[in-house]
Amino acid sequence: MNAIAPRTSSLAFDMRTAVVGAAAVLTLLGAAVLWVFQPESLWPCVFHAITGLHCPGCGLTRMLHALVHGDVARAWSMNPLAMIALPLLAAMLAQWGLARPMLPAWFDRYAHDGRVWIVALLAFGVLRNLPMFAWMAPG
Amino acid sequence: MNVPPPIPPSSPPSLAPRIPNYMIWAILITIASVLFCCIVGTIPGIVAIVFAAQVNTKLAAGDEAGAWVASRRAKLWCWITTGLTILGLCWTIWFISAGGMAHYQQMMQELENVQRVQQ
Repeated sequence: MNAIAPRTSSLAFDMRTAVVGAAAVLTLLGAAVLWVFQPESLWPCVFHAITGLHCPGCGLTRMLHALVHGDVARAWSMNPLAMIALPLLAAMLAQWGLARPMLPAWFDRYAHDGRVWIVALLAFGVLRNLPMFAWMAPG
Repeated sequence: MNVPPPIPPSSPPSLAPRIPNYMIWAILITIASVLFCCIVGTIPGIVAIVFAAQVNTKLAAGDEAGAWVASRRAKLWCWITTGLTILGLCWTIWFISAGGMAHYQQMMQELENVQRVQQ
């Protein structure tokens, strides 16, 4: 995704509005679902069910559930990486949607580098299964 | 999804070829992979987004051949992510139809008991 592309046509503008609008609607919908349902009544992680190990996304539902219910400490304990990534992704979406830079330029380069995300996900996935990094594991 | 949008008549005719960049497919399937495939399907999803982003960048730089390569790679990684997400979705449907979380927790408890006996 281009970090900050100038608005070139009304078509591009409509695209941004549609994407940001869809993201907002999905966020509200997700929050409503997690406000009503307990994470235990939703489906668990496929990877965890098959291997017994924690994948980088394990605890994501419980984290969002805790967040919707205002329990930030519990949310952090469920998936610390997602707690860092979520505001970052929201900021990236906002600055793309508004076509206005919000993150520092040097930081933005890393944030838009897929390799950084993949390395972070893989490293987090390995570390949270090690006993000395148990604080990264949900539960 | 890869159908080019109609060009408004007021805009000047574009000489650059339209190369599908699969960006929307890549983003949507990556989000779906988080929900139904855990993060396992998200990593190829990010790869798909990276290649999708390269299509327009390379085209803008005049590298049409490179843009086509990125387009084909984006398509391939989109399909990989889609496959993983469909598998995850099938498992989710099976899981819910097989009795849901209560049954699952009981199964995990039994598994833990077996492991404890083995140790």
